Amino acid sequence: MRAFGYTVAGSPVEAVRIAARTANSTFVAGGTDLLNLMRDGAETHDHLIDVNQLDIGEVAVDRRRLRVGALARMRHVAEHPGVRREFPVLSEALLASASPQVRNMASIGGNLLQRTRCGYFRDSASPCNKRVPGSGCPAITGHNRGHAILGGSDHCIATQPSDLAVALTALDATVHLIGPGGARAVPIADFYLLPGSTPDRETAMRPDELITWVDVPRTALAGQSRYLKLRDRATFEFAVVSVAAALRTRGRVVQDVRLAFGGVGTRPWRDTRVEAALRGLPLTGQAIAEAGRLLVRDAEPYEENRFKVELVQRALVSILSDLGGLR
Amino acid sequence: MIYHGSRFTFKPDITPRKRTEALESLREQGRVIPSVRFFAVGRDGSGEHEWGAIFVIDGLDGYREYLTHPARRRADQIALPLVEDVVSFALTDDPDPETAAKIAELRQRLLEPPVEHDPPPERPVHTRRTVLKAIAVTAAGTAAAGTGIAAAPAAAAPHTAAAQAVAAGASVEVTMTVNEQLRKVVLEPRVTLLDALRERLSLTGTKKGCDRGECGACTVLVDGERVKSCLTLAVMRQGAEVTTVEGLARGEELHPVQEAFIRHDAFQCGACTPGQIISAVACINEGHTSSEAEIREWMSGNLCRCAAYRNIVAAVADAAKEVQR
Repeated sequence: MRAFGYTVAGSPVEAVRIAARTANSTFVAGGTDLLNLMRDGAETHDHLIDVNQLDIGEVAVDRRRLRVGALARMRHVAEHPGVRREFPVLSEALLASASPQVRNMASIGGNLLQRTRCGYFRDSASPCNKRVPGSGCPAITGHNRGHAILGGSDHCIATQPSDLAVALTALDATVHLIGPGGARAVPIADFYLLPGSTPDRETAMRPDELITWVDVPRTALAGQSRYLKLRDRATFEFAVVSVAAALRTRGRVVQDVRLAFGGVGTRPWRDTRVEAALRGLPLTGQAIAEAGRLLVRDAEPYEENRFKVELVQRALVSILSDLGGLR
Repeated sequence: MIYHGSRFTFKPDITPRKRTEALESLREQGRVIPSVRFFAVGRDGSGEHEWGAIFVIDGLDGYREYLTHPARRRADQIALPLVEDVVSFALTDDPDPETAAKIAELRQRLLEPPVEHDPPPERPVHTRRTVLKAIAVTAAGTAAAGTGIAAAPAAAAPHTAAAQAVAAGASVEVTMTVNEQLRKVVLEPRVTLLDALRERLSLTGTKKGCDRGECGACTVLVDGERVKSCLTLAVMRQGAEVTTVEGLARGEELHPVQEAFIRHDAFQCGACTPGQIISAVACINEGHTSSEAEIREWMSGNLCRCAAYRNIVAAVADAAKEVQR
């Protein structure tokens, strides 16, 4: 790793102030993604601001919502009794992520900001529009098995790899930020950006902003949620396709449903038209199949990832059948 | 002659076995360190402390040998966590006041926790380094500093939160408790915990496999939780308590997980084994050993290129039974 400077920040305000006055700096919490990015030259920073001492690591559930501090570690959120009971999809998504060691280290804020696993992005010798804007995208015509079939552009088809982000997208979470301009909240639907012609801009975060916490509304729906992750080996692997789903039925009829997909989109993928197509209908294999077809209607698969078009539909059938008691 | 003595009381919850182990480790110093002429480890009749130890040592060179001998370091590792309220002294029958001064100087230097420099101080390049101590933690316990049982346990070492900057290329002093010993290292922020352990503290039991968090060979416990030491910076672990595979055994007695790995032949080449063992210790502590499937899932962060998984799973299951008994 190239040499860099280092500062321990004592409070969120201080962290942001240091970031604003320190050129080419970034925050470090767990470091589990950042250190590899810096080793590989996918990111270069002259200064790291250690935010591990900040008092934003709490996990709390009250009547209205779950609040997860950005510095809470993946393990502690996954094991939190209130999260397991009221927001099972979050716990399941976290436990399906990384390894026990990494879950002890990685923070929630860092998890949401982890960079894509695209091999061309991670290889600093390759062109990549995300890493070096304007240099081109070898994935579109190259190895793209892990890439997106939804939300891509001529500039980038990389997926966002966070399982947690997919689960939070299904549950309408809000990301709270602090920055030089003050504090603000961004709905998760607006947090991740489509690549368009600026794939280097991945989130709505402004320069030197820091995630402070994430809020998730507490609803009956959230209590009936699941995460299904399909991957190339049984565990310790990123998703090929994943689905976060929450479902309420009365009798057989779908009262409400939330769906978000990982591994298929350039951001955690939510399509409210798919949810609308199921709402008010009896939950049958046919209804789910139609919703699935709607999901992939605009899909643009590439050479190596055509299988995802079928796989994501099957994943949807599987998780909704389980949640709805169809099998 | 130099008479090096200490008087101490064990913590109230210490088992008789642990106590015997500690006393034996002290006696072992007398048996194996050549410069020790006579020694005694036994009940202290003064009433202020329960136990005492005295070592009669031949001359200043002998005292230096005694203070730096591995047997003494091992005794520290075993006995220090078990005792409270220690006092230590060194007297000499040499009438030359210079001798007493030199004894004091030796104790000051050698009973302090060792500082490992990056690069070693004898290399001239070091003089150009800026050593910023601003965010360092100094936690050498005052009571233990003069005990003759060197390094103080760093339970009281606070995490600092001062927004002190270390410039790129500069070094910083980091204090950690490694295997129950207070250790100081001077290093650049870019040095990982793994490299600090292996290259600076010579604890090469922790292995560098992939150096990117995928293989788990570098797994250590930090504040009781298993982490991948290649994915964290040493500077981020200021004040932390680190346990490496070297810290599991108690003297000659192996940790139950180590015993189980041997019993079940849970390795071939051994490169992943220290990481597997540390990870297994944590896995058992976390309670993820109720079935073979659960062990496989919760040990999945540790890869074995020889694919000794069947035996590793068996060893973890077996050790779990023993630990939980």
